[in-house]
Amino acid sequence: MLQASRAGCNDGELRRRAVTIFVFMIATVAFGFVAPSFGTLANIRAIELSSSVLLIASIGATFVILMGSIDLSIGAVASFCGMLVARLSPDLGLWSVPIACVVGLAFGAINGLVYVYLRIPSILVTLGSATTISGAVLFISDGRSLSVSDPAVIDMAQGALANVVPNAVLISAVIYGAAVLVGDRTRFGRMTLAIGSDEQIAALMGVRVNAIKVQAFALSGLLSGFAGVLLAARLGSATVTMGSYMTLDTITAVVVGGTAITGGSGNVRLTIIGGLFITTFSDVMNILALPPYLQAIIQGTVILVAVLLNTRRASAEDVK
Amino acid sequence: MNGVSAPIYSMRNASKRFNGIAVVEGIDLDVFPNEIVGIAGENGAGKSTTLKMIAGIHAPNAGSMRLFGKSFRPLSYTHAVEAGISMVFQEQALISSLAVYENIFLSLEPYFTSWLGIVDRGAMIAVSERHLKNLGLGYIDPRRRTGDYAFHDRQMIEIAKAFALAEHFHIDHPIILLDEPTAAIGEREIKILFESIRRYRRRASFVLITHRLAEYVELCDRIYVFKDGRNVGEFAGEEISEQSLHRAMVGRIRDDEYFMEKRQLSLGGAPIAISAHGLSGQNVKNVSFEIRKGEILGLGGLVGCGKEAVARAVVGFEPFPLNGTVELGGEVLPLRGRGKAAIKRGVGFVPKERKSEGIVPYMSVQANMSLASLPLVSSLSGFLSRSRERRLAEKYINRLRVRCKGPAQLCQFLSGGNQQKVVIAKWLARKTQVLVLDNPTRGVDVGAKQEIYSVLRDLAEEGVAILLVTDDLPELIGMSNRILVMREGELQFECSAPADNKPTEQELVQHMV
Ligand SMILES: Nc1ncnc2c1ncn2[C@@H]1O[C@H](COP(=O)(O)OP(=O)(O)OP(=O)(O)O)[C@@H](O)[C@H]1O
Ligand SMILES: [Mg+2]
Repeated sequence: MLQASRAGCNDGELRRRAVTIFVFMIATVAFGFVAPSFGTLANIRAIELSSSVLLIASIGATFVILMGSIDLSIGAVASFCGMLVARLSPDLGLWSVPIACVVGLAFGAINGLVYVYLRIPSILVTLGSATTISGAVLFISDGRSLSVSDPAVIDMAQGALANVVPNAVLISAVIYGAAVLVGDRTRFGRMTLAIGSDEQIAALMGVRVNAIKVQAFALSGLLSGFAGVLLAARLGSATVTMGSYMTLDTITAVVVGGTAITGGSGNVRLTIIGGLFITTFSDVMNILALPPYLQAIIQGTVILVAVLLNTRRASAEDVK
Repeated sequence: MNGVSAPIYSMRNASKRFNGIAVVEGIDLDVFPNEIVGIAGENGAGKSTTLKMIAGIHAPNAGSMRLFGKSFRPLSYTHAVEAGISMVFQEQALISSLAVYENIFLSLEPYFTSWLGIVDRGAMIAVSERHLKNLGLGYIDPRRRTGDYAFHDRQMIEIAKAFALAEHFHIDHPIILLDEPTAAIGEREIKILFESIRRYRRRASFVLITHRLAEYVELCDRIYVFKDGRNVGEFAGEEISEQSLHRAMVGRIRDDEYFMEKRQLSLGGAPIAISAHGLSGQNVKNVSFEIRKGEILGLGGLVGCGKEAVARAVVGFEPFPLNGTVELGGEVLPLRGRGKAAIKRGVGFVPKERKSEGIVPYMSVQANMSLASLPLVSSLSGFLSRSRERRLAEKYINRLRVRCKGPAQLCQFLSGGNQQKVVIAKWLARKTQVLVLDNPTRGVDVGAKQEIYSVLRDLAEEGVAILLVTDDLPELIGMSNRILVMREGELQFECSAPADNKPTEQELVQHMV
């Protein structure tokens, strides 16, 4: 009831949280060794690939959430762009990838423009556009699954540098590195945080707040589109709802990474831990062949616990 | 008075640590019936923390408290309120989307609820109305949204709330804690507030924090002086004077050169840096003026006279001026997008509402300070350079004596006055041609105030044109080369204020009311 404050963190706290999450990771891995196939190369590869996909989408989501907004269209955009690559790659080959990314960027930019200029809360804008885009996926695919067979596209996700480091991991590492740099050391990064804290502050700095907002949504569209492309290439096929899990998983990854869901506090750095955590955990449960209902129950509980450990609730007087 | 009765509240040997760092150490404090007690000290001395311990918001790490003769260990603010203590916060704690009366009785709705579970809004409104009237705030409608009222009105609502809470719990003799209640309100409101305090003291005690020493002298019976979280002095009755307080707080005698008037420039033919013609809008009617390079133009007037709106119109932020032009270095700024154009051409603006417009609480001191000058701390690659940023922050931390653990500390954990210094540093860090300041020394301690004045003099010497909007009369008179007084949106009076011939407060006030 006093000063409005949000769960925030400084560097010391970031470290403390990183430790918390690492403890979780280790526990998960130990748990995984109960199932002998967890440690196999194939399984580790699978975890690497799926966490790469999730991380890329989560990075875009982080900037949006830092601003105090939310993007619920991530899953739909990912599905659309994955489907688009499946549609176009037989004719265009690798060129279908940048095209799909540009389409993702356009979706994001439209989200941002509608949000900013029609002054509709982002949660509603993206809820609406998610539905629309899901419809469009059905339209371009006739409601069927399409396979992705272009070797260059497949290689982008499934190949590996010198047969050791998977391409998907390389790509996501590069994007992650760039995002950390952008978040910490550019005007865009600083201003997303300032906007999440209070728009007036950024406005009084001569910043075009609207432009930053549109950019953040465009970035989210671009990265979720690319995540969808990578997912389709990894699976070798595109289905109409394959990306839908990403909408909530990205938000979870961001929040487990210590960014306040209300914006104004956090960092893109720990989003990687959130992404890894979610993927590893669901992988372990798959290997143990737990029934789906049990998986859902456990996963939900574990996420709640992770968030509990990971935010300073005691000093966050203002919990929404 | 103190000799005869026993204290109604006492704190013994109290300490408070945050993350292992002692912020308050070994404080003893008594409050006697009908007494007005002051706590004085520099920014970060631990004054607010002490009040928060009394109010149950922070639990002391050591020490004991007694209230009305019984041991007192409040577990929460609500608990303290029920026991007879209420507090007006330094940074506002009202919820702007609620009606005024809802804020006043927030969380007390059960007391107004009939057995049918229906909240008696009429009663809440009536009680709120009465308290607002008592404080001379009859014009505030308790049914309206709190956010519709200006900052200074919200401050008065908080004060009314404190009185209403005390009455509500039938406390015969409440203790009301006031943390810088006058920092954001004008002379007129201060007068009303002080009158009510004097009226209420017959049945209440007060603990007061302010950064205007004259207010301690005017109101307080006894004053504790804090330094670095310790009690370094206690003054009562005749011993209380601005000089004695200043000396105890800062450790040196206050010099007559507080506003450094000798350094005030005489500006024969200095070129005009910025001029405004026919500014009008909400609360502002046809205001024109110009500021020369190196000039400090003071703009005074009662709260609500439109001076803040003029400041915002000059820098081009909402509420937008409906009309009028601003000319900067011979160039007329566009009406649309004036804010951005002004900033690009080197206009800086220190706003009044630091909590929502000044700092980003979950950013470090260093990131906050560089926010307006990111290009300056960027390396050739275009990315921000952490080391440059840190050097910049260190420079201003020293220059303005910001009390913090270092450039990496989050602004959230700075005391109110130190946050204000960070806001000022943000604009100093950047090369400005024109600096517009709205009450820049609000909540800043006397020592640091002088630092800020000295910085303003430096800037003037460098040729920066300064528009100083302030509610503080001595500051207005002492700092300005020229003074404008506004009343009801219009310029009412203009006079020059050369170093050797300053106008008196009376001369100015007569044009304000
Ligand atoms: N929650 C907190 N966590 C860590 N440090 C804190 C916290 N609250 C206050 N501090 C630190 O305690 C010190 C005293 O703060 P306090 O707010 O009591 O100062 P103050 O005397 O009221 O100053 P001002 O005149 O600027 O309001 C400051 O250095 C501040 O940074
Ligand atoms: Mg304080």
